[in-house]
Amino acid sequence: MISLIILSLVGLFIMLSGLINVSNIIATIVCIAALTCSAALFILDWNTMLIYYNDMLFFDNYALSFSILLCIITIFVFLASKFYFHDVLQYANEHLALFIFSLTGMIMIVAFDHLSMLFIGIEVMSIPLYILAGSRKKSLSSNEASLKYFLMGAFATGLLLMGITLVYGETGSFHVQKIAESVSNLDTATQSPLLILGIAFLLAGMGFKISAVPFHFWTPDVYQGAPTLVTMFMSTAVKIAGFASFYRLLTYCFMQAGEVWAPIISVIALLTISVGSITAMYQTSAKRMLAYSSISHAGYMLLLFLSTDTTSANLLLYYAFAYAFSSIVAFSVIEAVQKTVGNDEFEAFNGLAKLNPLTALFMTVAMISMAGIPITGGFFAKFYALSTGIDSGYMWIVIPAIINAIIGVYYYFKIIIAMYFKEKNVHTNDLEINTFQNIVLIKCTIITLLLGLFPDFVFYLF
Amino acid sequence: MIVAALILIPFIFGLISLFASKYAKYTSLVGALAFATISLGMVYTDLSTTATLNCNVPWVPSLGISLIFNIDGINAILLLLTAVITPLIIISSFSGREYSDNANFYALISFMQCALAGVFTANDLFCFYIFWELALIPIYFICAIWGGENRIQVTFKFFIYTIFGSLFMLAGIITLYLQTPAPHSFDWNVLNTLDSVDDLTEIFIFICFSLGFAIKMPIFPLHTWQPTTYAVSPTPGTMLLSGIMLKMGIWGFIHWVLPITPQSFIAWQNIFITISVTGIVYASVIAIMQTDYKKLVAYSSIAHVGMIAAGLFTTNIEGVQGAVIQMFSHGVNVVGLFFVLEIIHRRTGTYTIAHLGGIAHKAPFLSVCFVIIMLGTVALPLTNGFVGEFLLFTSLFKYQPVLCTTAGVSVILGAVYMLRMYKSIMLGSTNDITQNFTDITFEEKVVLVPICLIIIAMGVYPNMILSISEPYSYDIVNFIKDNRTDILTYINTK
Repeated sequence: MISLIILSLVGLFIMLSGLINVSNIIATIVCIAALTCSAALFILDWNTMLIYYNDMLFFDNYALSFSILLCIITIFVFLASKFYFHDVLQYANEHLALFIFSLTGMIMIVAFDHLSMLFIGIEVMSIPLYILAGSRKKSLSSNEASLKYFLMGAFATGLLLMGITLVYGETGSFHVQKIAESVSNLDTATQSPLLILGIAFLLAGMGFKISAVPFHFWTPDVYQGAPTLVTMFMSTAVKIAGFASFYRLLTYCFMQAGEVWAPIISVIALLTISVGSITAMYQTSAKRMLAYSSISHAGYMLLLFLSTDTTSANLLLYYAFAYAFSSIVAFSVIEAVQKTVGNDEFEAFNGLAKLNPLTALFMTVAMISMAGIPITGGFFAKFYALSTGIDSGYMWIVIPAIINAIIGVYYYFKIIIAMYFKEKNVHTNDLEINTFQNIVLIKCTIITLLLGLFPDFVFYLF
Repeated sequence: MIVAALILIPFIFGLISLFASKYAKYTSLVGALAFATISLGMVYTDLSTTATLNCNVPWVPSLGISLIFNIDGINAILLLLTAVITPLIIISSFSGREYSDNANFYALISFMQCALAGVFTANDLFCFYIFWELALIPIYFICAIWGGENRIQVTFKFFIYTIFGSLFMLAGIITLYLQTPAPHSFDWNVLNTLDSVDDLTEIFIFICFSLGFAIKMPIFPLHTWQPTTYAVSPTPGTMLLSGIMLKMGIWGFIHWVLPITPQSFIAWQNIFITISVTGIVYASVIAIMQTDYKKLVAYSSIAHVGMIAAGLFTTNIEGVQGAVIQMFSHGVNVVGLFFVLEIIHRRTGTYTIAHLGGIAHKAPFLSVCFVIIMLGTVALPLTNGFVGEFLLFTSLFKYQPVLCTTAGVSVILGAVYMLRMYKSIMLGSTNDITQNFTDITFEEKVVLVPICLIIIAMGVYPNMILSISEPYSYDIVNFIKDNRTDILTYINTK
């Protein structure tokens, strides 16, 4: 809880520090210190199960572990931020503050114990992102991304609010445990039209946030249009927070109404996996390809929701770990390539292995992890998703999921092929990567490999 | 623990090679020789001393995954094959200009050897799968970086094709894993004694596994990646693929399909044997039509593997023993053939048979080696190929004489294309391309002479291989026989 306050205050101070021209480097250091501090405080809260503000927030280990992960991701994003802040130098500190505010919202939604807190958290998380997506003021695509994200996001929040209202109408409460009680008191959840409609609206609203098909249309344009650092933040932290809160919503509130949402989720999962990876196959831009592939990954994560087992929260956390760290590497390298070559097409990667063998190696590990090939974290993530699917009897999703995994190998390897086997472009120079970015790349690669070698260590957390 | 050492040695030497720049070829060779020494010593000691040989360490306790590596008489032969061939492949690449000074190339070969040793010895299904996938990545990079024309498209097709098979295998593995009793396990011994699997699940598992293994071998309708990949890859890559890597698929059938899903296998046995025999004839006919000698050997390799598969699927003792010895012989012969062709290509720069001729006059030593290797391939008595083919045909005859006769056509066709290739390349008069042909160098002799010696030694005294695998082959044969009786009694009581 103290960490939430620390983060909000630091956010405010950083925002004001722009007025008195505090240098961006100092502001970044302060932010990273604050993030490290709050992550440490979350670790200290372990196993305490604290409840705050009249049952508004509930920091159980689930919320804590995701909060820690989100803090770590944000630290990495800041460390990798060289080019971004170089471009927006005039308002750099304000942008930093927006990242911090967004993170505050995320921590609220992974720890919510009251549906109004879910709503407020989502707003706190999203509004800074609308601004960040449009932070390249003179770029047309950045403005388009911002507007699209804003309109779609506002619409989704509307649906979410509608869902919350309907659920309130049926159960008479906004409180998570009370909702769960009244849902389990119903004879059969399927006979309550209010509840069914409410859950459907909630699913649609959350589906927008995690970009599940058919609510995914904003994702590619926004991911491509937004500055790469913001895309990195959106595709890792924001997405993981969305998943964590979605999972919390379904399992904490509506566990007993599984027969209502499980069929919907299963169809959405199948569609999300297939549409994401099939569309990714046709992309020529690496960044857009990663946007579609992140949709596909969302589908695999949705498979974990279908588990009848309580340990699937661990598996979701594991998937989030594996996905986040390879995404950070991928987007960092894409950003560096984009700066040097000028675009993010696959051809821009040609011959990278000869110029920057180490960077190419990191990118390869990230791609192999995303494609789900051992010995990386992504392999175990895929293994858990598939085994959950088979275990819960969803073979009809698992077989298409496997075919889509093969398609996944196809498009992830396009980058590897470009880096290693194609001749370099005439005008390609050495990539500009500073020490901090290298630290991020090395650490993320090591974490990805460790996750693949010792997958158990995530599970000792619970 | 010796097995763990066998897997770690190539890995460590691979890492050293990565940073050894110009000396990478020697570090990699030292690793391969150390591997060879240990495995030679191991194979001819008592294989039943399991405690010192095998290794069992927990890896992921929450999933029941352990690093279990075992040696029995059959995978000992495969380790021996890996041990004999890898140093030869490394030496043979010394004279290849493109890669001989490249540290990454030798590191990849060593990593490949590590993965292969893992695949052949893993007794935990999950480890097996990990090594199975890991074996693909080095060979993909070797072929795609140092390959010939169209290398990117061709090797990518190969990569996607095999990943397709292995991901379905993963689905089968997970399904099988979830069938094991409560704290699930991947251990072969647990999976082997599993009897609560219902028919539909078992068939699903069987099909998934077979798909993965059949693509790797490759068996007839799934072979389309193979000829182009062999033709495009650099010769050391082709040698690794054809000499050792396709044995992964056969080993998969021997160790994971037959013992774990015996009943589905018995139900599908006829279909599998028929497909294999079709593949033998099909590949032999296509091989005759080839004008490119590397592709010709690639198709002949499909025919030979089809023969091994057909014999193995009959699951009588001749078939299993024949498959085991033929795996070894085929590995040695095909590596020899590809190396001879590589020598010819280095000196002439062409892959077309019709452009060559008269090399025998210029290079008598090469032509003698070529003859011995070729006769081994067409299975002349007193060469290693004969022992295997004889056993395989016996088994097929015992199973179904008509199929045996059909497959027998391939022996004639095999002699036709091999001898014709030899005639047009080596005999006749020299032309512009071949008249400056020089005989083989010392390095090349170091590779070819051992291969020729092995071919003759195994042909004269095949027992040095057969005696090692015999008890273990009987285990498999009896296991399948028991299951067949079970099925028959079940049908009769119904």
